[in-house]
Amino acid sequence: MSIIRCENLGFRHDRAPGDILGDISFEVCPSELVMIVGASGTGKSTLLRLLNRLQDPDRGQRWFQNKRYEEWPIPQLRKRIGLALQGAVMLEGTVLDNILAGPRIWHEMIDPAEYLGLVHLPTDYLMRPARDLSGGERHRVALARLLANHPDVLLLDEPTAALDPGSRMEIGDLIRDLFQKWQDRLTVVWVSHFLDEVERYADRVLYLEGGSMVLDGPWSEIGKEITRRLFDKGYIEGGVLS
Amino acid sequence: MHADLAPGKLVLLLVLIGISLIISRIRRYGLERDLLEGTVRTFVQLFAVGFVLDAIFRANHWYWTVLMLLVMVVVATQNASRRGRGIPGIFWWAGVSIACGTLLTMMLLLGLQIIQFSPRYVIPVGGMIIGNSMIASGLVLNRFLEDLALKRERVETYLSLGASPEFAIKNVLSPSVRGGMIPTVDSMKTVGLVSLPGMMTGAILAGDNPLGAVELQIMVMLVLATAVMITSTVLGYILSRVAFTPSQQLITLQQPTR
Repeated sequence: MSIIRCENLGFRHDRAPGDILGDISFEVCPSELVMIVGASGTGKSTLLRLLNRLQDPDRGQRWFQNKRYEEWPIPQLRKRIGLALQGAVMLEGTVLDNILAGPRIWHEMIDPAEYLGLVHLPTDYLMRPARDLSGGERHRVALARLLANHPDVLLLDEPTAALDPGSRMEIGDLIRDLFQKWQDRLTVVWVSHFLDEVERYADRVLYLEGGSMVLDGPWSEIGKEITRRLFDKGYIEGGVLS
Repeated sequence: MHADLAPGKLVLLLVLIGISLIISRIRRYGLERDLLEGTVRTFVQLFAVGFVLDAIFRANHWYWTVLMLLVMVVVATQNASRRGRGIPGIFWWAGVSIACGTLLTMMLLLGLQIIQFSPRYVIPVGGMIIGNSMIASGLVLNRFLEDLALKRERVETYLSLGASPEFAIKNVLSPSVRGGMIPTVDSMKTVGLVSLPGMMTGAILAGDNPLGAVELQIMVMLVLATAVMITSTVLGYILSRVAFTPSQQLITLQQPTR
């Protein structure tokens, strides 16, 4: 049984000709870590936005826990399928304000220090202004903010982008460890730009090309084909998508 | 002294514009055409409105007064809504906001019998209220579009956590509404110290006792602050609604044009 299911999703931007996404169908099973990979502009971020309902598709249907998206109250759906937008966006105020953003919306009580601990940041970070954080710290706080909202699914849009290789690996391992710790209640859909990450962490890989889902399977089966396709199109430089 | 300008003297004052034209020509500012156009417009527009007001004052019918205020609201709306290009239905929303601010304060003034329902009072006071509401609406819209472009991702982050649109946009909206209020609040703080306000100056030049003019001016300042607050708040509320689709998704708006 799938937790998220999409059928024939199509999306077109108001101001640009042609489809950004065309006819995308896939399922995500509970407790699965799925990674979405593809060259820039293939609609990976758009797909995550459609899954969090920040946008609606022009065609096709989405289901969450076998109920159509339109049947869910929108705020509740977004809480349960949480999205960390690209670029580790920080909200106004301190780290504490960021971690409490979700619980304040939902009037829930949480221990902020616990969530800071989950992303390996010391408690004295709570009162720091979020705008003063480094890139890696922002990614950690964005992750803690998402987790503090108690989602069933984590949609992560390039959670390791713009980091040095060491920090990238640290955040990647952190996400994998959190996922393994809470695997019985957490599903992860992770858009990545790094093939080494995909190989290292993904249970299953979805490969997007030109707005269509071209390959779907474990890295061990489709990894070579993905690499070949990206290399042929000149998108790979030293294992990294450019 | 009573200000008394015969038309002949007014024409003589064109010498002042002549000085500006000469300076602009010598210094090559390239403002001659604009200066001439501005001068002609000043004469034509003010005399036109003078004749219209004179006719309305003489006729003294309520419907002419209301029509005049309506025309002012429409022109103010058109001007203010330019700052909000790209927002669906912005002309109507700006109009509703300006009309709300104007109507509520006017009703208060008339209801409490602070001014009489006579074109001589209603039109100039209404004009000031509408003018200030127009400036406030323009500022709110400009700031809103600028802030939304900068903070779009934050608004979407709140939405993605399950926040309502009103909650998500709160931090964009408050500075915009505050921005609309600032000129009025600032002018309240410095009134009389930096410059004498137009209405008071006009009343004194027309021969009024300065203390009487002061009372009138205080009324105007308080009324304007209220009108601007109502207009900015109504517009802010409307913006928090129209910036989202029925599915609680942030619409894409274009950057403000200056």
